[in-house]
Amino acid sequence: MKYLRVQDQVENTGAAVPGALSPSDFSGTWFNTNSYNPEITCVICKAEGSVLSVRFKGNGSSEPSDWGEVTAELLYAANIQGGPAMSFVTSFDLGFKKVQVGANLNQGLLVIATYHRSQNDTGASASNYFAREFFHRADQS
Amino acid sequence: MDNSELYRAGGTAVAVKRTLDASALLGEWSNTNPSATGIVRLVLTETGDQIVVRVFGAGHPQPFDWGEAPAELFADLPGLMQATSFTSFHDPGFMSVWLLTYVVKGVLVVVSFTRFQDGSGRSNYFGKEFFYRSREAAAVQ
Repeated sequence: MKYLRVQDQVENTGAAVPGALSPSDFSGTWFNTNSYNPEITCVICKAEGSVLSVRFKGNGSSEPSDWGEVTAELLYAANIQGGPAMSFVTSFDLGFKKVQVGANLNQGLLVIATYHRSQNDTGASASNYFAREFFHRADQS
Repeated sequence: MDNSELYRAGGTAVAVKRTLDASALLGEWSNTNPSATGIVRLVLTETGDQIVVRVFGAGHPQPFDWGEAPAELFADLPGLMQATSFTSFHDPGFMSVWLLTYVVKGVLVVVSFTRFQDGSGRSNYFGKEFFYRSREAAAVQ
């Protein structure tokens, strides 16, 4: 078995079931912990089987109010043995920019890293940039 | 769902146009955990108009050299020209790893999204490791 890190060398991979990661832990509506000046205000996740759909809502000024819905392209477990998905990657094409997204669950938070790649050559104002925001579940009480 | 092409940071055969200042990233970064079993070291260098990253995975007796991949740079905000983040994609065939990184208070945070493509049963998994700058750019040229 090939590997490029010690942690990728496992003697028993019987517990791992490729492609069977469940995204159900992401299901629901998540709100930005920063209510003052969020870029992404809200994330809506829907899990159906092994498919996760994700919709971003933006602040309507620096970011579109609705980014639309995309499917998580890949799901990731917390370790090589598999288990529930606790991370996903996806991307949005907003026309004027493309945004790659890496997300993970941590301590009850949904942590979302966005890498914004401008599609216009408009100088410094269009430089590629990175952002990280934190989301809590909608109050279910 | 194979969308690896999306994460190829401009592709191995296509030059990544660089407009951001990479000085805060160039050099050697070592894992803060001396017993790390994941990535032990990253080296970022400037090659013409590109920034490339060389990754070393934990291994015995020597670390595994993943080789070089183009690094795509990102700033903290759209108008800033100082890069504080990069992404890169590494695909030796049997696995692929997308790295999302960012610098916080002098620490390079490296988030890795690992996918196995060899039918070994190993699960896709998410990881996060922390690195300090062990050598400045001039020392690794």
